[in-house]
Amino acid sequence: MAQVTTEKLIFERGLYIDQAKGTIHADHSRGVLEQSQEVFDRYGARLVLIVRHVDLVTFDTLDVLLRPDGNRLADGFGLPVQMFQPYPFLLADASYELLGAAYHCRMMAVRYAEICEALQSQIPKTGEAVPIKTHHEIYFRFDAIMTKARKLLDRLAWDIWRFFVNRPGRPDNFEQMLDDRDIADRVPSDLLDCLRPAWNELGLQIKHYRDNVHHLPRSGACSFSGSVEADAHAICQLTMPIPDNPEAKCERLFEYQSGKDALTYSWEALAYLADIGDTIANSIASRFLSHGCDDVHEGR
Amino acid sequence: MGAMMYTKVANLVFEYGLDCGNVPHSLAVTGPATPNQIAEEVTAKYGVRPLLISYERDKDCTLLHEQDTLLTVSGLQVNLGSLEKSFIGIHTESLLADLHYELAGVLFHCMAMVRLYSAARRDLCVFMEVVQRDDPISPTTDFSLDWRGSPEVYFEFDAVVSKAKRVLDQWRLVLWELFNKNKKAKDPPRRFWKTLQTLASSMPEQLKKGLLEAWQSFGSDVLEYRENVQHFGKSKGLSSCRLKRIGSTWGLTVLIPDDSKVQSDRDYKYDKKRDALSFCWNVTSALVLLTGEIISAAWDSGSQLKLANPLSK
Repeated sequence: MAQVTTEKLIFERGLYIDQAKGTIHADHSRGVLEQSQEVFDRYGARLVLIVRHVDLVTFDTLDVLLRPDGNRLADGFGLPVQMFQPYPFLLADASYELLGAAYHCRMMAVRYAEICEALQSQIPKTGEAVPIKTHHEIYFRFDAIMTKARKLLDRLAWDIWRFFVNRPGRPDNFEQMLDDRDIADRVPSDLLDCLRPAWNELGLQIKHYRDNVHHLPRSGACSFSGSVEADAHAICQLTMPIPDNPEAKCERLFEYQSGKDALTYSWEALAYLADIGDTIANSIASRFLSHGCDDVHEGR
Repeated sequence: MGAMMYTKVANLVFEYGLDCGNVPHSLAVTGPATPNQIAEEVTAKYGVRPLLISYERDKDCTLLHEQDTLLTVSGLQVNLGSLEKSFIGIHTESLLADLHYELAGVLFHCMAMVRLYSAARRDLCVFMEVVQRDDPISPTTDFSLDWRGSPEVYFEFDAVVSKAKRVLDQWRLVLWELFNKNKKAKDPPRRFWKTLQTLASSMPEQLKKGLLEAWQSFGSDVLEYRENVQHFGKSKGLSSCRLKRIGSTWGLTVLIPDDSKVQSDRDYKYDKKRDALSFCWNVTSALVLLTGEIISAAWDSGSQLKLANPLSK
């Protein structure tokens, strides 16, 4: 019988509980929910990742990336089983990109905790933020997450197009899909009512972050730094800032006043994108089950 | 801030995720030796090159970014810390600082890929041990295997080629600042290859030769793969890997398409058995080495502090 054990709980800002040591003054003999609540009450940080180990070979990670609401983040988007055979491609690419973004988010959370652990004995226990400059790897993960997130949105747009519009001239991206002349007629209005605000609230911002990663100079990333603070118990918390206004497209115009953190932003964005994908999957499934659809093509 | 050097080697990883030592599923070596001696012995005996040295981290050591060190094709050891030191003195808002950021990204994702290969290969070896115990006619030579763990390797592959493309972008801008003699032409050509051609007559011979070789051996592939990753098919293509029989153990190969220009995953072919890690490691090695030459050229010209990025103004 395989033995699965929980090794570590990782929270926002790199707070963690090592289940063997109980490093955060939480009672690690209690359940995950209780420990998680205790950390939230004490530090206001939510549980991001449960790191687990199994004593036999497994080809899939056992680690659990959570959502901000405490539920598990899904590995992909589901459709009714009747749709698998005729349309195996629907939401397959989008699921792949979600998986990719989730992978980089997991790795980012692990690195936050590693940095906090490594610096634990070095940071003055005064609660004052100490700048650190040598951890660009957090931003490499952020770059990868934003790249995957943007691609996820575009793949979701392709699926909407294939299923509801299904004529040549597929839009390249999510924004173009929303602007297409046929969209309002073919796509259910309740889905559109969800997609437009989602694009305005998050999609556009992800696009700007991603475009900055791919097209703008990043000298700023080498000059701005994260910071670590430690409380009286030497519990460290890490903040790695990202700009409030990625649309400025210029390092000198970026602002960091809101204290936006790379992990928290990426993690919340990922959960939001998963919700959008679920909404699209439900809409496609609903249409298929009520009307059927026999003419969906994979091509462009 | 306190820091200690890493001294005790935890693992030496070779191509195909192989390692060595007296533990199951490792390549056999003759005895205790330095990492360099072990690397030489393993390369001579099994034909695989050393990629990464992982050190054990002392609990007091804060230099996380120096825990893993990549060995380049030429044997140079480079990690995120040493790379940073090679850029010391560079203005933080210069083109070279941008180049540092992107190159460090390539190195970071390449090393992450090595670690994934190493862990996955070991898991697959244990899996094969169970399979061979229960099934006497199971394969003992190279074979393909469906394996759901491969997407993580592809996610790192996507990240390596995306960052490598950015390094080529930065090279283009830096080289233009250093070697453009035509003051009327303010901006470099948009294509890397065209920039090289335009600057060929004014570049030092050795640097020019290195850049041309890099372009021919991987540069255009990097751009095409990155284009695929960003805009077309998924690099996944094939969720399977191959196990190679090496010595008395298995090596892992995760395949990437033969032709980087093919833009649909339905048309990908894998006849050449092109390995994701070997490709990325070759690219990373070359980018690190040539960037060193570009930095030297910038110091020689005395202009490294003036290379303010025009786009950041």
